[in-house]
Amino acid sequence: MTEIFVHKGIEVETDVPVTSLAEELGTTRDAFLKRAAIFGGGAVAAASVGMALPGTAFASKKSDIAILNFALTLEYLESSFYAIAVGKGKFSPRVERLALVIRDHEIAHVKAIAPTIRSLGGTPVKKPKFNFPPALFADETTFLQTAMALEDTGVGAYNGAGPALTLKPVKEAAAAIVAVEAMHASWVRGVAGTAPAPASFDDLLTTDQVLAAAGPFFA
Amino acid sequence: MNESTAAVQSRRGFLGKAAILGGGALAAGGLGAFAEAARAHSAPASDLAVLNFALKLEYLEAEFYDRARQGDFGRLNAGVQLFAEVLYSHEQAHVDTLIATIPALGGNPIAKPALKFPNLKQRSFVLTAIQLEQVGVGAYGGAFPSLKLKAVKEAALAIHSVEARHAAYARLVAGTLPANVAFFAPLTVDQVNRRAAPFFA
Repeated sequence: MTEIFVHKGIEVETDVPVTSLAEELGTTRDAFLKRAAIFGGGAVAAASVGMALPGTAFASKKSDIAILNFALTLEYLESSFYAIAVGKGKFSPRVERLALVIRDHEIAHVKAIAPTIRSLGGTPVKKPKFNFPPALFADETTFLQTAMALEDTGVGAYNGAGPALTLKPVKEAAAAIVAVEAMHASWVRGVAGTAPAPASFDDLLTTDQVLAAAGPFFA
Repeated sequence: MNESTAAVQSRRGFLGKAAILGGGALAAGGLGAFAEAARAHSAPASDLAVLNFALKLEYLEAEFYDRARQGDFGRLNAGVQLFAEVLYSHEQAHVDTLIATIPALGGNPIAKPALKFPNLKQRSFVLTAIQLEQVGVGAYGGAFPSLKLKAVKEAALAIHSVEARHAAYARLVAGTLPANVAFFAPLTVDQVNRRAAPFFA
């Protein structure tokens, strides 16, 4: 797998498959790769378990449902944005791959959150109508800048909502998702040639701040 | 106003707002949460234990990148050197804020543990960075659901997603897929300890 990473005009040497990179770890290589495999496999399993909430009634589940519906709205926004990029964007293979992989992740988030809301006795919001001007997908720079703003806003939205969550499985699921949103943000930033991790501490956004940032995309 | 003009203006509006929010990150987000934590005076013992566990991992990460940037793992090219410098500054900031926050909440910060690192070179350094950052993400993600004090939750979340950014940054530098799963599994304390054990002397 080849990846060229440019940051502040510096091209990082990255055109070496990770498996051969791992050889320098010597005896720890197998353990490393095994661990990586467990990590990957475990992620999906744990998240699925976390999402499979019992049908028991919880006193505080109403506020969790509201937060989950807010998250679902943002996941619909993101998945729709990347779906258009995959369908209409004419990008380099590197950016095509980014759009495709992130689209699939956002769709997976939608598919996990909607049934969770139902299992809590709530009603998932319908997919909103979005307004994505064609200009957003006209060139790589504009697409990446928009993706960056969306992902950074997504991270801040989950971070901002996290402290108010009450149910353990919902907290676990939110943590499992926000980590991936932060990875997306870092990835998009790196490909766009800007700092992947621009600060020591990430933002915690209020609902109003998230709506102000994402508002223009709602039709 | 034609459609494309409207689109560009809308985009500028969005990006402008995002930039304002981004700029506020340092002030209102992480450090603000720590300041709030410091005003809370006391945290439950379980929250303090989580913060000290986090401090132990942050010590490990900070020294790991400090050694890298100072050349302990051999010569690094400019991009990897920058990666090491940026991550060192973030992990050291996490250490510094945890050291300041734990006493303010009524706890005692642990002393810096004795650390050991394998003989690494540029490539194995970046791979080890992936491993360490993923442990960090899993550790904060795993601890978050048990936290009780709001300000501690906020601080943990403000760090958790930065560790996730680091993991993806390391994966970018290594040339592998930066985000390879749709859900990132949280880790238990035991799982974190097992994965980090080789680095503690």
